[in-house]
Amino acid sequence: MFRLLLSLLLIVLIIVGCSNNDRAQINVIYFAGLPMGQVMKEMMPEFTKETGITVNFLEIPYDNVRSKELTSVRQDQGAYDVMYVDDIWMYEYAKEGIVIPLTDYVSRDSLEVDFDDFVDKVVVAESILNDTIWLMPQRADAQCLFYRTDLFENPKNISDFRNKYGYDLNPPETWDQFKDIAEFFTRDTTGDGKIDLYGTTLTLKRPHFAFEFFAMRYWSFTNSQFLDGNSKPIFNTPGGVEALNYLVSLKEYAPPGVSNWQHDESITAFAAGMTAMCPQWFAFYPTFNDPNTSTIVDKFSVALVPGMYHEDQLVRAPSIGGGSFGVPVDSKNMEAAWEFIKFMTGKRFMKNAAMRGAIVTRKSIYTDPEVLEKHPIYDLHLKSLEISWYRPRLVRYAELQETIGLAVSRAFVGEMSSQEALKIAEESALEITK
Amino acid sequence: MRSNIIHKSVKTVAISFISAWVIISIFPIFWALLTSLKPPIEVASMPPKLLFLPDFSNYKTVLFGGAGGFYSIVQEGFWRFLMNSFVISTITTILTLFLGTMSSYYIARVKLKSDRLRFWFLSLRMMPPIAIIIPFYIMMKYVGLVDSKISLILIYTIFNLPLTVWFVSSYIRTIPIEYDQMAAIDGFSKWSGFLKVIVPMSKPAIITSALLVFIFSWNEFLFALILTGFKSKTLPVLATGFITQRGIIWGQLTATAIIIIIPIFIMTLIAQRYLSRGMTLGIKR
Amino acid sequence: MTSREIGQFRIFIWPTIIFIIILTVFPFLYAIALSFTDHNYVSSDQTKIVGIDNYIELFQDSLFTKSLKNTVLLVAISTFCELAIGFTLATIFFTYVRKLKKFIQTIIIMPMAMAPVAVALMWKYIFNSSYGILNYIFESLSLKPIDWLGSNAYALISIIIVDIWQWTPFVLLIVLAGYESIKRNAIDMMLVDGANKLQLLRFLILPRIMPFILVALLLRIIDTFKLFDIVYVLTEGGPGSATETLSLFGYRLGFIFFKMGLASAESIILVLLISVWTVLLIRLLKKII
Repeated sequence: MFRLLLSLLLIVLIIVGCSNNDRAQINVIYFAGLPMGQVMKEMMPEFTKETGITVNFLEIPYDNVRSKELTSVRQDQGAYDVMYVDDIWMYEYAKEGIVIPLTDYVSRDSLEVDFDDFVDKVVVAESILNDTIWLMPQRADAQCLFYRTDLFENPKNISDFRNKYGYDLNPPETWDQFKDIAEFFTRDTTGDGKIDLYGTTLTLKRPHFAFEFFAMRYWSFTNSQFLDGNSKPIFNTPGGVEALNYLVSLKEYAPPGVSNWQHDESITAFAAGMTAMCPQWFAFYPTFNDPNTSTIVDKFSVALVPGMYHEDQLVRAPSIGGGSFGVPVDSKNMEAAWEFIKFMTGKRFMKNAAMRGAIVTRKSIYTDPEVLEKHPIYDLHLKSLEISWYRPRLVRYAELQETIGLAVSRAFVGEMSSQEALKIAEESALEITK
Repeated sequence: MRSNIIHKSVKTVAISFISAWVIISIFPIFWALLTSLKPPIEVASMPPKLLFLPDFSNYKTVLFGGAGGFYSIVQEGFWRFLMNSFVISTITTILTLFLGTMSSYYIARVKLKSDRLRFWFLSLRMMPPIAIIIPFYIMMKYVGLVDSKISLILIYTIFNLPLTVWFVSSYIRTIPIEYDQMAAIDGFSKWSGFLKVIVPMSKPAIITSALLVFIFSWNEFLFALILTGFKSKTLPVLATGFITQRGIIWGQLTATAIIIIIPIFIMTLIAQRYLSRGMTLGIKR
Repeated sequence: MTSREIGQFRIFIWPTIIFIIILTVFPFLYAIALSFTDHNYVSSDQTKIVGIDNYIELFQDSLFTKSLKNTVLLVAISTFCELAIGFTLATIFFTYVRKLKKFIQTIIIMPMAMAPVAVALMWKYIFNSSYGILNYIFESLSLKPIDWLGSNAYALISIIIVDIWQWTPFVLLIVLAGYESIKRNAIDMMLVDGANKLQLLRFLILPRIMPFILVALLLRIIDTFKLFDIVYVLTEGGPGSATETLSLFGYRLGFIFFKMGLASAESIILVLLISVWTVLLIRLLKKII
């Protein structure tokens, strides 16, 4: 009798224990419309089967994610268990106690996680701050230069270019070459008196597009960051002004309206064959490669972004950008959240994602022969990541981005001179970095 | 003779003006409709294609979810968002009309010494969302109404009361006081007089208000974004999901926009029946 | 009206007043209180009381004053056009349209019925300087294409165009209902005096339609001062500061910088600004009626 009761109790406990596992539910916020998200949704059933955790997956447009995440954490309701964090927010999230440190979790499951497998530059940009692991990196993007191989390899173009500029037509190594090439390709190809081919796209809508595309030039022009070691602004220098003036001078070689372009317009323009070059984030590679969305599928390639020589050294400065997972401090399901994060930053998931053309964060995946065979271009992307720069680190990053982005936009559209724009930005920046 | 010609030419100008406006109104929406029926690669083609075979895959993806490579957003629960939006908009409209028409009656009939009451109503609409969204959220948290449809219904009602009150009260003011008095003489209480006489006579204003309130609630974005989580997410929040970091998925965005506008279109057509008061002058008993 | 009668009426207004007070007292006081602090919603720093520093800081910010200027321009031009066009359309519609009434009215209302975000995105596409339909039409008519959203000169005009496109139906609906209200009485007069006394009718109908025009005017002014979705999606204040508006400025302060103290102060300024305008307008138009 007693044994029967005991075994019944045991059975009940087991059932309760198992069903508790099944009833574990987590809420995840992610950026809307990412290819990685697509892969995640497809692998979600596998995750649930392995761990018994069901996932509520909420995708929100990028522009609204940070607002939603910050207000939600401060509301302290445990609304979300996993948040997706852009690398530029990491400093703020860490310093303001928005996410919990993950160092202990990582060391506990170190074998499974294999943290050293993450690309070093990526870890610095979107994972570790002051020796603490705050976020787990999932996506790592870097700016690169897309260009039209058919235009660059055309014999007439090659000889015309050599005659006009005195050197060979190749993907530009320096910003001066970039400008020459942009000028060269801005032309009327149909003979109707209207320019229909442009040298390059530009993506300069306020504020963060303006900022990130100015940054790649600013960094290589000045070989310095926007803030110094004490987080004080140092961008209002002759080099900074020169970089901004350079950007403004590209206006005539870009299609009309670029001062208001977001990613969408510039990739649409390049994919439709409107420009010869397109400095953009590598993540758009699949878009250009897909016959459903691109007319230039076999006619383009990718190069590293141009740079500037500083004492015989060519300084290229693609910006790094990406997304990582963090666990909000008010989450009530941290263990389950961690399981999710492990899975979605794990090797199996990333291999799957990489084969589909998504931009992952693990060295082993980028050097995996199978992946490289399918996407040989990943080799270049890895190189870009390894020479990449990260954007300024401060809690009030959003304000700094807004200030500098505003200055870039103002100078570009002629509202004021580069000097004036940067000066005003510096005044604001001084207040922000007080 | 001369006045006839003037009359005719005025009429022609007037009709052309309104026709032009109809074309201007419908053109962008028509363009969105066309775009929603195109595959993504046609979006930037110049000159823009006008004749092509319609392709409904965008609609299929939005409504039922779909694979479609990297350019589709698998939509789970489109119907849930639709339901949420519908419930919120309907209840907001009913609540706003209920409170609003009653208040309009008071304002229209009671000769107030100052305009303060009317102005106070108007001021409810003046507050920009940022200032009150956080304290409102705190209030909702206090009563446990976070991520609920009720929180949106309440705030939408507050925003739409000014419109309803001002509009309907202006309309009621044009109803001669004799009708109220006749109703009283016939033995109606204030309330039944209001309900059975004034309200039916104010149909154009009430129905128009209903339409405006419904549309507002159906399309509102900011409060819906911040105040809702999973349970009460609405259609506008869904629609903006197509603005992604890698670009705007035009085909599906326009398809969603068209889908969102169809219920309003149908509703407006139905509402037309009640917008015109007709020539009845007698009081129906 | 006897005090007893007024008492009978009270039941019509009290539920609404109580409803409003319960829901708005706390947020309103909270916002005012917050405007005198340096509260940052995200920061773990202690919130300090700073008195009127926020207000001073705002008026010293050149971007804020630019947004003020832009917003007033936007309100003035949009509202004026919407009222003029809306009133004209309503009059034409009421006078001349007999066939297809329901259909035409529904189509005219559609712009307003569309989600502002969707509207903005559609127009972004239409305004595109390189592959947008508007410039395509311009070029076909041998006109020079305009850089709608990318130039200093035309960005604000583009916003105004979209606002007018979307909200004129609002005015139309309200004025139409106004016409319905006087239809009853006016019809008798029209039958008596004959239709060729059009001008006399103008002076008879116009004063009666004035209250409705006033309603439309006030609501449009309030809504346009707060216009957000269209600006945010189309230009986000750019290029440069050409389309920086008060609501965008406030949104940025509150939801991107999370400086709630400043954002509240900005909102209070906005509300005061709107109030001043509406009070002035009500007084002015009352004299005319």
